[in-house]
Amino acid sequence: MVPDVAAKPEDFSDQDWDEIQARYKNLLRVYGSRLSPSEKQHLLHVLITNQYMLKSIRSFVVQNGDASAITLRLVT
Amino acid sequence: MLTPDTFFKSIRFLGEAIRERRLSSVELTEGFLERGRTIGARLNAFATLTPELALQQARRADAEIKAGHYRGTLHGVPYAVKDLVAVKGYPTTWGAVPYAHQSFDFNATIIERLNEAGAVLLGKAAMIELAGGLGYSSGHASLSGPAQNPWNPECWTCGSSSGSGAIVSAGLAPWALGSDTRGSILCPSSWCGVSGLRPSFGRVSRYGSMAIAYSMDKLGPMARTADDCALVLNVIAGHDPLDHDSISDTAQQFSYQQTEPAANDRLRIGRLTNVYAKTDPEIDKAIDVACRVFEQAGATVETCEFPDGPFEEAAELTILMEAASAFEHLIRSGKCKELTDPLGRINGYASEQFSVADYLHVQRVRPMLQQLADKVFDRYSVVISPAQPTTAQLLSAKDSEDWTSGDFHLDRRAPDGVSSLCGLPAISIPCGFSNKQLPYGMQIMGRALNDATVLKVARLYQAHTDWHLQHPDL
Repeated sequence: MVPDVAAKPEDFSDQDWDEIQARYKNLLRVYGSRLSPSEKQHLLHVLITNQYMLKSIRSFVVQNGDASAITLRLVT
Repeated sequence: MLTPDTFFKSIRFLGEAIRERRLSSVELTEGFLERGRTIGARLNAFATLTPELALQQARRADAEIKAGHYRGTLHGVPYAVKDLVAVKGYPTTWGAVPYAHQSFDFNATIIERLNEAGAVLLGKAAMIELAGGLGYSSGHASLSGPAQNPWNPECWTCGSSSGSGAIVSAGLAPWALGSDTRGSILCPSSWCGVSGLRPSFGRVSRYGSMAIAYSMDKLGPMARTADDCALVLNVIAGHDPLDHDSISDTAQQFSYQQTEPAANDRLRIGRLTNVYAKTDPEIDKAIDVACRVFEQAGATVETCEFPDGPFEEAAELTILMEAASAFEHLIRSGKCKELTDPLGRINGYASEQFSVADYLHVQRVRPMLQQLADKVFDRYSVVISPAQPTTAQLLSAKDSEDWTSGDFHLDRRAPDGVSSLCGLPAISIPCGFSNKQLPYGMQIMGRALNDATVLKVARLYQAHTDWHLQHPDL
């Protein structure tokens, strides 16, 4: 699905690349009609950048018992 | 009688002159407005000048002081505010075409506090569109055109508080309010050679200002001296029930008196050595010289390393994810295509593709990173580093976005990213010049809510150096 505007970076796993393809496919499904070919290519690069950051943050493992991300503030 | 030097004086100097009626607020305001119309226009520094409001506030200040009703150090002193803060009845464009005709019928909390202090609003400072909330790749990404660096107009001011940096550096106002989500006060302060404080998260109310990333946005002063930053923070800090993230009255409060350096301070300063992959060697030398200044002033200085962790990734991802919510209407409606920057026009579409699990993962990692950062301050009062790895870049420079070759790199411990992510107070102050006469900035970062310690260390440095007194020849 990902056009030949970008090759899979060497340090990406197949799973990383599949994830990018899925995001790209969904993005085109929703917004494809608004985008020029160069914008589509640009977006692919953005998705690759984002995946690098996600890979890095996911390597920092959190366990079930670690702190929640959500704090409910009671209204009294 | 105003001299050219008057426009580069500190808030403290001008405030005292106005209080003692050696200087009229009206005369000073008229002088700054004229510089705004001329020099400011050349630098693309202002989005809007507010001369009627400014002169009305200045006349009132002079009258009140004459009648013996003195409100404090900011009384009668002009300032500018970044154009993402609501000022009743004036345009608040967020620096972006889709909001070019936007205005609000109320004042932001911070404007109300400054009004109560008798400050004089000269105008709205230019800024990067949406403060970079949907991304940008160059200094041209602004409704009012690229802000030019007063030290070299071919260079950029950095963003997103681009106009605020230019205004203070060029002597168009003694201080300007900036906002900082990830470095947007610290970077322009460094590149423009001014003192800019990004307070602890929640210290200053954001009610009435544009949101980018709700868990990271802060407002803070950019001024000529750290002392001036402390004077402004003393007015604008404090709990506001209208800001969901405003720290409570029971938390450690900011006190101006605690920013005063004292002989028995026993300050222990950590000089970070591992925050950038590559820096201009001259900046590192400037920081080394600063270390000796601190030692001669009685502080203890040690080199140290910041703990490893995905600080920068967490900061960037949080901003992308929260901005997709903050600007949801702009993205869904397609009006983001009206933005100037090619990245800003499309970035929101990519950010919408993050999953809820991704966002929650980042936010669950974040307190662990906060703990890592906080441990550093068990040993050190503050840590210092270059505020930026380089001096101001050319306006023609653009960020590279092509990582398909696999050479992706982030400075994951970049100090402005670390302090932004963790909500820590940090200031950038001038600490030297390159051989091209461009300023170097030093970042001083402290433990959460220890804004006063950060300011104290900055004031100590400025008491022994004069880099902050240099200004461009305009």
